[in-house]
Amino acid sequence: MHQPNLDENASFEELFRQHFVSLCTIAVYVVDDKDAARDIVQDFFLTYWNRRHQITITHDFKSYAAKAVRYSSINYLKKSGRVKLEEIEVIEGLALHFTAEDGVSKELRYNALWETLNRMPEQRRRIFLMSNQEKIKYKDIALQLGISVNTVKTHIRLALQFLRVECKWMMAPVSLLLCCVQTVMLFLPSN
Amino acid sequence: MQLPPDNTGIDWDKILESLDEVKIPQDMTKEELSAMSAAREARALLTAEEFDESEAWQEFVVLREKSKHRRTRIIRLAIAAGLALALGAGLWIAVPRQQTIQVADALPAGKVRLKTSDGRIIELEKEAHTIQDNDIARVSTSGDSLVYNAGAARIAQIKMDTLETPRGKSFQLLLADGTKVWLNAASRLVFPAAFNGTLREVFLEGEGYFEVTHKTEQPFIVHTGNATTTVLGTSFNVSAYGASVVTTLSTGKIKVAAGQQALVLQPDEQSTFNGQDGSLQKKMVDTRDFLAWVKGDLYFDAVSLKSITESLSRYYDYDFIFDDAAIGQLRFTLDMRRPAMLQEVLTQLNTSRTDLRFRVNGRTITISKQS
Repeated sequence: MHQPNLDENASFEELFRQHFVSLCTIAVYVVDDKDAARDIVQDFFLTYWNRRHQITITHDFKSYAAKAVRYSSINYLKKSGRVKLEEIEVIEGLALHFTAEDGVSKELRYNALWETLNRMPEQRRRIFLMSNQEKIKYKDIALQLGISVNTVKTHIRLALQFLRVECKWMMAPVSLLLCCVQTVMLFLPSN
Repeated sequence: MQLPPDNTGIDWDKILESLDEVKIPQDMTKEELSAMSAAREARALLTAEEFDESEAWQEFVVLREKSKHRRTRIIRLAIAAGLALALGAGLWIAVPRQQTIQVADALPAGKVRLKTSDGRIIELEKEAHTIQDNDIARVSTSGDSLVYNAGAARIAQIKMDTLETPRGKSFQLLLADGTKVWLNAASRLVFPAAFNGTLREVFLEGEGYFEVTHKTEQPFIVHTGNATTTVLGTSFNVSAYGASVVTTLSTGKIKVAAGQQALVLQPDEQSTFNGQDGSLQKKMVDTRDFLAWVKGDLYFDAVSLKSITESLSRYYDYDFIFDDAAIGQLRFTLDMRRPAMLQEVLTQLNTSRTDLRFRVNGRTITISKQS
């Protein structure tokens, strides 16, 4: 049972610094928007700080925070109106899996991801990062690099396939993932 | 470009589309969902690496400041709207231009000490044990109380022990004659380990509540400064923190004497000996005001904030400073179990006066009024 002494500003700051980035990862996973993710996580810490005397965390801070951030991220998606409800339900199912601790920490996954990316051809890695890190649309990547949209798509597809094969964690949790998704599917409107 | 064969059955176009358009295709197979999840995760991990926790922390500190001011306003509005009840937990102490909010949750630091007649000083800790066991008395403690049992010897020479409580801690004592004493915080009681004389005499500084065992032939006398309280068997409270001695009787009958003056108190009567002008007077009182501490309650009926904080500083080992003396004259009514932490009391005070600000700095609390 981890109950940090939050009245010490120092220990709250420590908590903040320790978990900020990994919580942002969860928020980005759901909302796919860097600025929104940052706001969601800041908001979580603000609420947590203001209620620190009423909140009793029965398990560890990490899983409590992950749940709270996942929940507000889904809420944000619902309010934003840019994603359909049935899509949100799929994301919710995936996010449940994403935040579940399955033994492979985000840090290890991150390291494995970069290790694999570094073994890709230069151009492929570059395109993959432009799409996934800089969030540049396929057609804009094509324009910038002077190649066709199809070539961009092919590079990204090959990158994803390579990651799937080389990066163990991308394959590992399928069974867990499936049971989460199936649960969610039950609530989808059948059309 | 030639694509390698893919036997996963995944429609990669769907995945690619979902990444570019932030759309989730609806009819995805399990394999496709898993591939999409992994792709989103890779994307989340890559995006999050741009987050800088130091930068974020600076941002957070600023946000927190802003939200604080907003919150105080919101609270005031809400109370005006009659939502005060729901807010019990939401009251905050606003501290302008100060990064850390300190909360009054420090527990008392001092220890209860017993000085025995043979010169030993014993700090009374949680664990129960026997302190002394000889022919004068057997003394044992259970952490928050002390029990004296008279020994076999009947020595005329009276050995005196001293029990001292620090600020923030009260203590119970069972004297050798069966008399019970609740010694309030920041008090001292000097008493014999065994009562072998013709009188039972104890000396009190601070505050104590006594339930005296009835013994007609051996009066019980509490000495407090220049005043004495003589009883045969009864229960009463003596408060002598400052220059005055306030004695409140709950049952029985007692005689209070100071210099040449003497008064007899009936139940629910209270005498006050004024140490400055030497006067001794009595009046009828609601004894609950004066005996609540014995039961572990905080009870103030329209009492000035100044007197309340005087009690609170003893119970919780905190000092109070008033920004403006007029604040000390505000009257409050408070009836609650005495909580372990002072902060809960401050929050209660805040519920009835939302314009009060309690600034905590270590063990000092500065009270100001919000303009």
